[in-house]
Amino acid sequence: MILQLIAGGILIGGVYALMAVGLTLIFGVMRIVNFAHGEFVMVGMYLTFILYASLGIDPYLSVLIVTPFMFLLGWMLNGLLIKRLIGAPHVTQIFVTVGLSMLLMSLALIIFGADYLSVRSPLTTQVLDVGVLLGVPQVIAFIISMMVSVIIYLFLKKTFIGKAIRATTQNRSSATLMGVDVKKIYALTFAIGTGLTGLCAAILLPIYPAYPTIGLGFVLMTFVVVVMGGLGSIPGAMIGGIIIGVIETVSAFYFDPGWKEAFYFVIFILILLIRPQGFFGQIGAEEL
Amino acid sequence: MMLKIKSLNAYYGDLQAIRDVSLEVGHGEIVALLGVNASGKSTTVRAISGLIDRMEGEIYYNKELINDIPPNQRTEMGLIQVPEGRQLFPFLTVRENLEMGAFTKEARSKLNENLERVFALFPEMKNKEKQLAGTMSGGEQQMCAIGRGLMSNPRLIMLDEPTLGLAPLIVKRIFGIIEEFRAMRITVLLIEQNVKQSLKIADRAYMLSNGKIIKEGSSSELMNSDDVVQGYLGV
Ligand SMILES: Nc1ncnc2c1ncn2[C@@H]1O[C@H](COP(=O)(O)OP(=O)(O)OP(=O)(O)O)[C@@H](O)[C@H]1O
Ligand SMILES: [Mg+2]
Repeated sequence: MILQLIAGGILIGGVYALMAVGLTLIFGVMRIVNFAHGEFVMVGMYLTFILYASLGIDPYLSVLIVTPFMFLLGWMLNGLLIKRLIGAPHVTQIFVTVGLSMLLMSLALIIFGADYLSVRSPLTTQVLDVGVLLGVPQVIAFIISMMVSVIIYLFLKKTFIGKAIRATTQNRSSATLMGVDVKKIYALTFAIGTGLTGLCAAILLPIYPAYPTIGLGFVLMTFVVVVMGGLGSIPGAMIGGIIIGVIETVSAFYFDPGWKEAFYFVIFILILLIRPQGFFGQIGAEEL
Repeated sequence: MMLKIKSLNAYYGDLQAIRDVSLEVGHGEIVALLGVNASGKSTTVRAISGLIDRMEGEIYYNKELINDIPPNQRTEMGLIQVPEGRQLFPFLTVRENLEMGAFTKEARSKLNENLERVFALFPEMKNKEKQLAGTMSGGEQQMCAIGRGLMSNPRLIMLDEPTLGLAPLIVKRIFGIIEEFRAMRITVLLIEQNVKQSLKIADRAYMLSNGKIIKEGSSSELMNSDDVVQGYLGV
C-alpha cells in the first residue's frame, strides 16, 4: 500500500514541480512574490474545460492552446501590473498579487459557479500495472512535466536568451550594459512562468476537477516547494515538487486530507530552521 | 568628435553629483578622466551609458544626440562601458560572461573573432573558461571584465578604474593592453586615479574635482601643471 501511495505521490509531484519551476523562475529573476500563481493554474483549468465542453478538444491537445494563451496573459499582466512591482517592497507585492488572485477567484465563481467541473479523456480511467497501479493521466502528466522542466533548465543554461535571463538575475545593470533589454527579459520571464501554469492546468484537468478556489492549495504548496528547493533553483523545484507530492499523498491517506496544509506549514518551518537556503540554494547566491 | 558632452548635470535624488561637465573624445584618441574618490568620474560614465535617471545636458555620440536612447541600445551602437568593480556575472562561467559581452546582434556575428582576440590578450581566460567568474582573483576578474567589454565589439570603450586594487605587475599589463586598443581602432575614455601612468598613455586628460572639470589639456600639459603635480603625483 505504501509503495502504491509513494508512486502516486511521485507522479502528481511531477506536476507540482513544474508549477514550482514557473514560480521559482519568476521569483529568482524578478524577485517578485506572486501569490496569483495558483489562480493562473485555475484559469488554465477553466479554459481547458471550456475548450473541452464547447469544442470537444481533448485536454492533452488543448495544452497547445492553453499554454500559449497563458503565456500571452502573463505577458499582458506584466505590462499592466507586475512590472510596476519590480523592486517594490514584498508587502506591496503580496497585497497586489493576493488582490489579483482574489479577483480571479471571484470571477471564476461568478462565471462558473462553485461546482466541480471535470473532463473525460479517453485515457482518464486507464491504469498501468507495473507492480503498483499507475493511472495513465498521472503518468502522462509526470512525463510531460519532467520533460518540460528539463527543457526550461536547458533553455536557461544553453541558449543566448537563457543566459541573458541568468545574467539579468545576477547583475541587472551589467546586463543592460551588455545590450540586454532587461524589461523585455522580465516580461519574458513572467510570461514563461505563467505559460507553464497553463501547461500544468491542461494536464491536471483529467486528474483534478476545476473549481474556483483550487488555486489556493496550489499556491501554498508551490511556495513550500520553492523554499524547499532553494529560491530560483530549477532542480530544487523539481525535487521539492516530487517530495511534496509524496508527503501530500501519503499523509492524505493516513490522516485526514484536511491536514495537508498543516503539513506544508510544518515542513516550511522545518526547512527555514534547518536549511534556510533550501536544498539547492546558497545563501546570498542566485541559483540561476 | 566621437563623443561630445555638453554641460552635463547628474543627480542622485536631490544630490547633484556632477555640475556642468563638458568633455570631448576624438576618434582613435585615448582620453583620461582623472579625479579623486567621489569626484564624479563614475557618474559621468554612467550618464554617458544612460544609467542615470536624472540628468541634464547633451550627449552626442558620432554627432547624434543620444540623450533619449535607452542604455541597451547605446551598447548596440558600440558605446561600451567596463564598469568600476568588474560587475561580472558571478555565477556564470568565464566563457559565459564573455559570450554575454557579445549579446548584441553585431557583436554576436563577430563572436568567434572577438573571442580569439580576447584569448590572445588574456591567455589566462582561455585556461579558466569553465570557472565561475565570481571565484576568480581580482586581477583575473578585471581581465574578464575588459575581455567582456571587447566582446561587445566597441568603437568607444569607457574603462572605469580598470586597475583599482590590483598589483603593480598587472596594472602595468592592463595599461599596456589599453595602449594596444589604438591599433585595434578602439577609442578609449579611461577613468583612473592612477594619474601618472594614465597620463603616460593618454593623448589628453580632464581633471574632475567635486563634480566639476577643473583642468583639461594634453597629457604633457597636465603632467607639468602645478595642481596635478601637487594634488596627485605627490611631489
Ligand atoms: N547610487 C548613488 N546614490 C547616491 N549617491 C551616489 C550614488 N553613486 C554615487 N553617489 C555620489 O555621487 C558622488 C560622485 O560619485 P562617483 O561614484 O561618480 O565618484 P567617483 O569619482 O567615481 O569616485 P570613486 O573614485 O570612488 O569611484 C559621490 O558623492 C557619491 O557619494
Ligand atoms: Mg567611480
